[in-house]
Amino acid sequence: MKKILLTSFAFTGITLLVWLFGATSCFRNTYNVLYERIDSRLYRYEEDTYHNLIREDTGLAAYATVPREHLLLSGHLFMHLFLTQAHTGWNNLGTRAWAYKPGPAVYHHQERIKEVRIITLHDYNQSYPAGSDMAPICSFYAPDNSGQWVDRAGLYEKINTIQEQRMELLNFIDARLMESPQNAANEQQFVIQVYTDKGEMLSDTTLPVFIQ
Amino acid sequence: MKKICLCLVLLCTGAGMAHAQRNIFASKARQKMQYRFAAELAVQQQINGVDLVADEGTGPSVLRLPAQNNIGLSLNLLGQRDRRYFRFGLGLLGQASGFSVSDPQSGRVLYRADYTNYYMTLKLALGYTVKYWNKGSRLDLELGYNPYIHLNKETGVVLVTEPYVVNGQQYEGLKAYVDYDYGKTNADIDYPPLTILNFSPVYQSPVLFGRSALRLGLDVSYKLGAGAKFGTTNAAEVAVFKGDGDRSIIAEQRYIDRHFTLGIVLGLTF
Repeated sequence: MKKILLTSFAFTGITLLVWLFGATSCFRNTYNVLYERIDSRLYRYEEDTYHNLIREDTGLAAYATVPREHLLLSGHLFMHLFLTQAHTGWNNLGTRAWAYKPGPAVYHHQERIKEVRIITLHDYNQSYPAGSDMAPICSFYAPDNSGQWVDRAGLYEKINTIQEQRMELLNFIDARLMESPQNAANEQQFVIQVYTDKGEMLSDTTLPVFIQ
Repeated sequence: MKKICLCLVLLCTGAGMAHAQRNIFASKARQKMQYRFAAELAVQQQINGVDLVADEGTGPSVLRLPAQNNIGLSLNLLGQRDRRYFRFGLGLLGQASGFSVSDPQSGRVLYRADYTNYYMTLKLALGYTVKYWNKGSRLDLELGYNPYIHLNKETGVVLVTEPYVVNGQQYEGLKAYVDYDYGKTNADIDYPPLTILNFSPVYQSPVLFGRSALRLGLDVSYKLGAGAKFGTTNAAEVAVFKGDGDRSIIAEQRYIDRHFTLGIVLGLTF
């Protein structure tokens, strides 16, 4: 009886020890991230009291009419994620105890976004004829979901933070226009372009809409 | 042949050793342990095709792993009693490792990596002399377990780009992604131990001068412990993209090095 009790205590102690090691260790998957493509769409959106964007599930249909205040130009970034290492904690038990406490994934951005342009395909107003970059009159929704609207410089700052901290992915570049078109009867269409530090450009064209 | 097989089985089990000791040499008096040093040089040929063990990708094959050579040097202590002997040694091993990535559509080589791994090995082995000849030459069979440490390592990511032109503007388009590991690059992973398991039939010549004799053997080696974990040994993951601005993956492949080698060992006892 004594032996049985001692044996069971020993097992309990070992299990506790393994659990403690597991709880203090961290299992992390590390991914290398490359952008695959950008998908540009226009959405009708609202903003709630917490500054969260509430967009319609599907983008605007071609030649839909939308008030400028509710028009969201959205570039959805698709990515390739390559699992490169499964990080463990400071000891072996960490790899076995990962199920107890999986750590957040780490994303190594293998290329950086260095520039974002929103090109209009039609004359927007006198200052922005067809072919010009509309980004100076755009306000960008902070990609860190902080609920802030920032200018292009602020957007770059947020993007750099995301890429350096390696804890998040950059999924969307959302923008709204701060000026109205000169003629609401003219259709408007945009190209969202993203330039990477590797010298490549990802771009996609939205459907045409009428902006009031 | 039957005798060799029997000896191998006996070698591999403790019971077998005891059995051999009791029955085969029961009539002979037990000898004292005799010690010899042996300096050895090994040249190994990697067997192509065995390296590509984790072809988890899609699409056509884009990784090429040329079969190259390994060179090993070791200094060993051999202790022999009766027909059994043990080996304890330290060795250095250089393993030529490299691979290339090609475009599955055009066949062009997009990336070529050359690297040489250097290992320090602890050589532990048990051997059995299966045959003595009149002039003192003999044939040994040996099974070795050689834990090793990496003396060099390297890890990195290479993005291969190719220029393309859209509306007169030139861009650098992504063509291939290469993530490579040479040696043990993840310090967090320290099990299972990386080892080389080897089997060697060795012919030892009669004494040529002093106490020295030549040893000439074959060597069959296989790397153990290089599991499907990144960072344990040589590995690479590659993806080839369509190109010209289209980043769709047309081929993806991965390898983890579990070198299987055949080699020749030349040694001198002293």
